[in-house]
Amino acid sequence: MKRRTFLKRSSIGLSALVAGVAGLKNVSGSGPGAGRVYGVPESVRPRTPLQHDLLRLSMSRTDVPPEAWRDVAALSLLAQDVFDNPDVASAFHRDPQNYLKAVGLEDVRLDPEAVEVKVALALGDPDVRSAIDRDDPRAFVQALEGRGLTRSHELSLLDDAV
Amino acid sequence: MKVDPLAHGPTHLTILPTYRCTAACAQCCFESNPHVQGRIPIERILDYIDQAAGDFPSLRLVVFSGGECFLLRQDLDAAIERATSRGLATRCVTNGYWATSPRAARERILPLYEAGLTELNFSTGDDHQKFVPFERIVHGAVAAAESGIRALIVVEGRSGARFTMEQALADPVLAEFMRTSPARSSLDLLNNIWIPFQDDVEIAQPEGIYRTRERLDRFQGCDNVIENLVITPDEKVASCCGLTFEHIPEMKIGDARRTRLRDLYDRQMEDFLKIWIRVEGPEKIFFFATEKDPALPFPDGATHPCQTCAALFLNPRVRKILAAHYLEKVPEVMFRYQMMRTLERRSDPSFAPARQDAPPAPAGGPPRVGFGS
Repeated sequence: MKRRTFLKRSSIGLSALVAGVAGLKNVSGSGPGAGRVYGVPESVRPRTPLQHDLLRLSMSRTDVPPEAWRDVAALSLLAQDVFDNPDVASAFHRDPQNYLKAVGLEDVRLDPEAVEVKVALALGDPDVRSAIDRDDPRAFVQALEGRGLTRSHELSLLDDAV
Repeated sequence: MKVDPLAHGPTHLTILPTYRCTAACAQCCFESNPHVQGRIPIERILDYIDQAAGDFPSLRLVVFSGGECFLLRQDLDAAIERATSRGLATRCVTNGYWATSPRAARERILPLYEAGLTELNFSTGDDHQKFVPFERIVHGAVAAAESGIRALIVVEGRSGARFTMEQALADPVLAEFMRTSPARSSLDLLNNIWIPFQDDVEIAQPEGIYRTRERLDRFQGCDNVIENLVITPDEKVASCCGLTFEHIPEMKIGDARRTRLRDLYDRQMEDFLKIWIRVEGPEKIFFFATEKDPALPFPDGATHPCQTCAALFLNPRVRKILAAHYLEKVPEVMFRYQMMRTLERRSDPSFAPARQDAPPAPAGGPPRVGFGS
């Protein structure tokens, strides 16, 4: 796709959205959003709550099914236990899928390439654990680096944006 | 979702006290210019700093941007002094209009130094220099560095720019400073990624910058959303200070004049999409949508994650897909978020319990894992 196409596509999508939520008559070409890639920013024209059709992916008890909540609770416990319980960390490290199945999370799939999942697995690794037990940050970092766990190829955007 | 205040909170508070600016850059994300009216009264700026310092143990830095935050004049000094007194680092982002000479720069920076300012960022480049000459940036940055304030010159980054990083470094005064001054280690320069907000111009970037579908593996979660609590000039609170946040209504989470910052922050944790963006970033979420609807084109033309984020929120098809399928991602993303938070907090010595006051560990209980404890 040509880069220019991205800009035009964004404009078209946005014009339609703005027209929908703000009740504007002019969709493209001459409306307030015309000429702007992402439409009129709220810094220029504050909107009222009634003008919003907000996309919220609810985490409320009524919107998330009980079985999903059970999975979330069990995984939250795992996220604590890999730090605090060496037996859990070790079992998860040895066979993550089997561990998840054993604790009733057989339908859950964790991306093995995700950094946080790699860290959870590494906490059951004998070298990593040993470095932690010895309170040896250097050995800890080396053990993580040896397993490709350090994140360094993308700069923080927090500084870039404010 | 119940929020643990010790585990969840922003690291940055960004105050945008006004959108008024002495410049009117063509591609300004907020469309700031000298005619914009309105600002946050100083009493409420101080109250927001106090609230954030008291209610968010995770908070480290208060950023003042805009608009042009130096238009606050002495109120800016007072706000920085208040943040400093609460043990927080501070950063100002400016176009440097006030540094008309070396002497003017030193005179303006002195009260900021006395107030405890830790970092001063200067924005420059083709768009900015239509309003503020580069020599003022040099005056301001050099004066800041010489007084012990960390200075950063941020140059608009784009292919074919007339003013580049090389030209900045070739400035005779700056070059001499960087070569000989004992304070040179306090001054840095960087290129940002300048993006278009008006569609009458195309801003190109080097090929490697484009955030294409083929490069999905290298993109990470957004470290701005949820981590940065933002107060706009009309005292609305936002979940991030990304370049497109004023174009995304969902990023606004409430009115600071009516609700405490802590309550607004906690309330946003009910929105899974914010957590999802924090963990995976907008590109992977957009890709998730294309897997559900292969006819949906991935925004390969984006050069900055905030562009993809806007494309995600402003595309009705993506919104519909995410609303229909997000529950599939909830367990995995929440696990990763919990891991991220636990790791961050346990890596930060300031979150470790004080040794003398810490309760004794239970006999035979597992050792606490994490450095700084």
